[in-house]
Amino acid sequence: MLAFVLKKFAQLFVTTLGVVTLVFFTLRLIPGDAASAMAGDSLSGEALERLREQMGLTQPLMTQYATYLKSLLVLDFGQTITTGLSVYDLMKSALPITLLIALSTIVITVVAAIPLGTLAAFMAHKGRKGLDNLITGTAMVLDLMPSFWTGLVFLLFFSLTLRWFPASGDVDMSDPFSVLHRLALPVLVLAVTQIATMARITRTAVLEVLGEDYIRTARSLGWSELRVLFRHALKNAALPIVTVIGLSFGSLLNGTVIVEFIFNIPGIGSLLVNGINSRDYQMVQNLIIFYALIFVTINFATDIIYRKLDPRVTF
Amino acid sequence: MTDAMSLGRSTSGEADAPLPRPTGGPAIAQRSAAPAAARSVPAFRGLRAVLANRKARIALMILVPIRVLTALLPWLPLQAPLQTNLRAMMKPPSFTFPFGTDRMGRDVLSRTLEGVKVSLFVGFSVAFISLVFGIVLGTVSGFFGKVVDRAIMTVVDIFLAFPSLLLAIGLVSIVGTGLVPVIMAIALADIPRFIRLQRSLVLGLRSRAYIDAARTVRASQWWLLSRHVVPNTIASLLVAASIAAANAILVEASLSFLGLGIMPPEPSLGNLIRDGQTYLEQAWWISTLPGVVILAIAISLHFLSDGIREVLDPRSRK
Amino acid sequence: MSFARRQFLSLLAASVAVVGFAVATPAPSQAQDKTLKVRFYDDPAGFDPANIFRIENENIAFNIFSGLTTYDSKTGKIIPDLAESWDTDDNKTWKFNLRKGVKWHKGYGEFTSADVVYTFNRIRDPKTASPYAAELANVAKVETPDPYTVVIELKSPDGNFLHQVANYHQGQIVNRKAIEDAGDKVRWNPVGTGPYVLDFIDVNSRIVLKSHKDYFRGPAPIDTITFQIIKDENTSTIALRNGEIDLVMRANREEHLETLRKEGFRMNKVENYAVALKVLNPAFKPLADVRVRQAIAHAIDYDTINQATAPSMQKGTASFILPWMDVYTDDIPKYPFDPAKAKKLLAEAGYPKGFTVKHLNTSAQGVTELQQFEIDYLSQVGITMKMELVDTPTFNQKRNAGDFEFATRLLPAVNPDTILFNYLHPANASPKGLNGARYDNPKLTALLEGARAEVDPKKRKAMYAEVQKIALTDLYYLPMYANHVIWPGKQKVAGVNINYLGQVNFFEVDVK
Repeated sequence: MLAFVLKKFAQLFVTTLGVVTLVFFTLRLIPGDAASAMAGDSLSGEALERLREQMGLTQPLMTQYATYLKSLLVLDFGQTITTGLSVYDLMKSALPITLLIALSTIVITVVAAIPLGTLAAFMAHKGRKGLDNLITGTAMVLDLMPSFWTGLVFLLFFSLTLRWFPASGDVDMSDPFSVLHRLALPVLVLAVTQIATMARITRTAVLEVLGEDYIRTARSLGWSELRVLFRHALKNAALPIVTVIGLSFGSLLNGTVIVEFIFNIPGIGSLLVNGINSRDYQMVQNLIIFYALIFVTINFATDIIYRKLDPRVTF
Repeated sequence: MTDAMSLGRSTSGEADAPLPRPTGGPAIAQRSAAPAAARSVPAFRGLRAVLANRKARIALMILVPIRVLTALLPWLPLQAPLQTNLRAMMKPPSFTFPFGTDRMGRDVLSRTLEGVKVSLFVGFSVAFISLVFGIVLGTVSGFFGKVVDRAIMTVVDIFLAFPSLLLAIGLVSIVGTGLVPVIMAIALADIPRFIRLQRSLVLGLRSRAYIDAARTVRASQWWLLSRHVVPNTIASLLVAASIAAANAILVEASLSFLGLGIMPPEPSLGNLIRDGQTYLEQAWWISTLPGVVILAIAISLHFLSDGIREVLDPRSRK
Repeated sequence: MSFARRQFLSLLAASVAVVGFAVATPAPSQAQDKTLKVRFYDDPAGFDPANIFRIENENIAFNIFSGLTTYDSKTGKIIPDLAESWDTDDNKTWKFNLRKGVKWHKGYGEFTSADVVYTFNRIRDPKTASPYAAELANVAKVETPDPYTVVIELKSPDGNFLHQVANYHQGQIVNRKAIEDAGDKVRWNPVGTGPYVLDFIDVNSRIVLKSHKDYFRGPAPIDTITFQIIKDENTSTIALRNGEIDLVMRANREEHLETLRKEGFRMNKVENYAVALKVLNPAFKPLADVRVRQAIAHAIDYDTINQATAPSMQKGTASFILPWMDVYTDDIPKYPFDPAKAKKLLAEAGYPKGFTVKHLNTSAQGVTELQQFEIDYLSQVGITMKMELVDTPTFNQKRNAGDFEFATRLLPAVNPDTILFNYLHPANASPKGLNGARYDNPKLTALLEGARAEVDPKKRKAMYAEVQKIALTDLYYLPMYANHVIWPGKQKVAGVNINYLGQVNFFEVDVK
C-alpha cells in the first residue's frame, strides 16, 4: 500500500509540473496581452507600449518562466498584472465562497440522490416500471439540460417572480444568514444537475447488486425488504457511488464557473473568467494550476479510497 | 451537465477509476467478456442487432428525421436562417413561423435547423476525432506498455488534470472562436479520456487466452492488433463516442453562452439559446424551442449509447 | 460500512439547515445613513489619474478628484473647479487663481499651488509612464508665484487648453504625500479633493464611497454610495426591478430599456454622447478609391437601421461632431440612402460587381444587429461584408496597428479638437494613434494646426468647418450613429445628470 501511495505521489508531482509548464506557455500563445486588454478602447500605439513596459511584459519568455517557477516554490503567487493586487489575497477571499457552493451542493446531492436512485433501482428490480421510468427519465432530462439555461430560468422564477432570493449583492462571509440567502440559488441550480447524475449512477449500481446471490440469500433469511435494500444492497453499491462523488468534483468545478457568472458571485470561477478576459497571466496561471491541483488531489484520494474499499483490487 | 466523467460513467455502470488500474479493472474485464461471442460477427449483423433494440430505435427515430429536415432546409417553405424581416419581429409561433421569430424578424425554426446542422457537426466531429486518437494512442499505450505507455499516460494525466469545460475555455481563448477551434478544443479535452478507456480495454484483452494463442503461433503484431484487439474494443468505444457527441453539443452550448463558442449570425443551438435568453419574459420561444431541440438530441444520443451497450452486454438490460 | 447511515443523518441535517435558513432569511436591513446602490459593470482597474482607463473607472475618479476646471453636467461647458478664475491674452500663458481652504481627503491637509505643479510634473515624468503625458506635451513650464496662483506657459498657443486641465485624466490634481504613502498601490488609494472619498474596495464585488465632509462646495447629500459589480446585463436589470440596486450605470440592451421604461423607472439619459465611426482602411485596395467610400455611404441606410435596432440608444448622423459642440456645423457633405447612386459610383470605380470586404470585430460582441443589417444593405449593391471575429485583446491590437479593412471607432470627448486631431492628423496615424485609416491630407492638417493657435473664435470656427467639409468628402471615416447613454434608476433617485463624457457627478445626486 505504501509503495502504491508513493508511486501515485510521484505521478502527482510529475503531473503538477507538467500542468504548470503547459499552462505557462500556452497562456503566452494567446494573442493580445494584458496591456491592450486593460486599455480597452482608449489607448493606442506609443501610449500602449509604455504601459506594456511598465507591466513587465517585455522581458524574455524564459526569464519570465524561471522567475515564475522560483516564486511558486516559495508559494509566492505574486501580484495581478492588471490591478497590482496580491493574487494570494484575491484567492483567499474567493476560495471559501466557491468551496461553500461546491460542498453544499455535494451534501444536498448525496442526501437527495441516493434515496432516489435506490428507490428507482428497487422499483426496477420489482418490475414496477412506472416509478422507475419517471425517476430515470426526469433525471436524464435534468442531467442533460445545460446548466446556464437552468440557471437563467431559476433566476427569473425565484428571484424576479417569487422574490425569494436576490440576484446580486455582497457575499459577506462574516454574516452566515446573508451568505446562505445569497448562495441558495446557485447551489440549487448546481444540485439539480448533480442529483440527476448521481441518482442515475446509484440506480445502476444498486440494480446490479440486487441481482447478486447474497441478496437472494439475505432475502431468503426473511429480512424485510427495506433492510435488505439499505443494509445490504446499498452498502455493497457504495463503492462506485463513493468514486462518483469524488469524480463529480470535476463537473462541479465546471458548474461553479457557470453559476458564478450568472449569479454574479465573487468566487474563483469569476476570478478565472475575468483573468482570461483581461489576459492577466499571473492570475490565470495560478488559478488554473490551483484548479488542477484540487482536481488531481481529489482523484488521488478517490483512487486510494477505492483501493481501500474494494477487496477485489490487490496491490 | 457535461462533466469530466460522463464518458466513464456511461460506459461502465460503476464509472472508471480516476487513475489507470493495471488490470483494467474488474468492470472492464466483465464487460469485454461479453462481446467475446460477437467477435466474428460481421458489421451489418451488429447494426441489425442495434436496430432491434428499443432504445436505439427511439433514438434513431428522433435523430434521423431531424437530420433529414436540416438537409432539406433550403427547399422547405421557410424564411432563410439569416434573412431579417422588419415586418415580423418577435412574432409568436404561428403557421408561417412554426417556432416564431426573433427580434430581427428571423425565423427561429430555420435558424434552429441550421443550428442543429452545426451542432451535430460539432458533436460527430468531436466523437470521430476522439475515437481515432483514442484507438491509436490507447492501443499503443496498452499493447506495447513500458516507456511508450508511461510517456503517453503522463501526458494524458496532465490533460486530465483540468476539468473539461475549463480546458475547453482555455483552449478556445488561445485558438480563437469559430467552428474549427471549438471542435478542436472540445476534442482535445475528450481524447485523453478515450485513450485511457481504450488502454484499459486493451490491457484487459492482452491477457486473454486467444491472444496468447495467436502469440504462440507467432502472428505479426499488426495482425494481432487489427484482427483481435481493436475489433474487440470498438463497440465499447462506440458507446463512449455517442456520449461524447452529446457531451460536445452541450459543451459547445456552454462555450457559446460564455461568448467563446460559435459566433452569430452563424447559428448554433448554443448561441440561439444565448441570444434568446434576454427575451425570456417577452418572447419565450426564441430560446426555449432551440433548448428543447438540443435536449431531444442529447437524450437520443444517450439512448443510442444505452442501446449499443445493451446489445453488447445483455446483462445490463433491466 | 455503517458510516453510510450515520453520515446520511448528519448530512441530511446540514442540508435541511442550509435550505431552511436560506428561505427564512429576510433581506438585509436598511442603514440609518442615506445610501445609494449603483450597478458597476466591469472589474475596477484602479483610480490613479495618471494611469486610469475605461469610463466606469473614470467616473469613480471624477467624484474623488477635482481639476482646475470641470464640466457643467448639463451643458458640457467648462466651469471653475479648484481654480476660481483664470485669464490669458494669447492662449499661450495661462494664469489660474486657486480656491482657498480646500481640504484633501483623509487628513492630508490643505490644497495649494504646489500640488498642481507636482501633479503636472508627475504626468510629464517618463517614469510615471502615463499614457496621458502627450496631453501635456505642449506645456513649457508651470510656475507658482504664491500658494494660490498657478501660471502655465505653453510652447505654442492652444485655445482648447482649459480642457487639458479639467477634472479628467491628467487634469485631476493629486497629493504628493498621499502618492508617496501609497507606494506601488497608488491606484487603489486615491486621495483627492472631490465630493466623495474612497472608503472600501473589493475588486471582486464592490466599491464603497463616503461623502467628503469638508468638500469645498459642502458635503454631498448622500452619505454612502456602494457600487455593486454586476457584469451581466440580465442580472443587473433583474437587480434593479427587485429593488436590490437603485441605479444602473449604463444599461445597453434595448429590450431591457423597454421593460424598465414600461415599469416606470426613471430613464436618466444624455443624448448625442459620442459618434460611432466606421473606419474605411485604404490599405485595402478598393477602399483607396473615394468613389467606393462614398458608394458605401450611399448604400447603407443608417437612419432606418438605428430606428429598428436601438431606437432609444442611437440615431443616424452625418457628422463627426456633436450638435452641442461649439464648432458644430450642418454645412457638410451628406450621403442619403441611394443604392442606385452607390452602384453607379462602384461601377465608375471599376467594381461593377462589387467586392468582398472584411469587418473586424470582437468575438465578445459577435456580429451586432447593426452589422447584420449592414451586411444586408451592402449585399444589395454587390458588396459582400464578412465578419472577422477575434477576441478583445487581439481586436485592440489589430485595430491599433491598422491591420483591418473595416473597423469601428467611438471616441467620447468634450473637446471637438480631441476628436478631429486623433482621427485626422497624420501624427496620430496607426500604429501610433487612433488614425487607423492613416489619413493624411496636408490641407486639412494645416487647418487643424491653424485652428488650435487661432485666438479669434469666429475664424477658428470657420477653420473647423472647413476641416469637417474636407474630412467628410474624403470619407475615410463614415459616421454611423450618435449614441445616447442611459442610466435607468428608481424614481426616487434624482439629479442623475450624465455629462458628455458619460459620467455622473454624484454631488448632484440625491435620494428623495
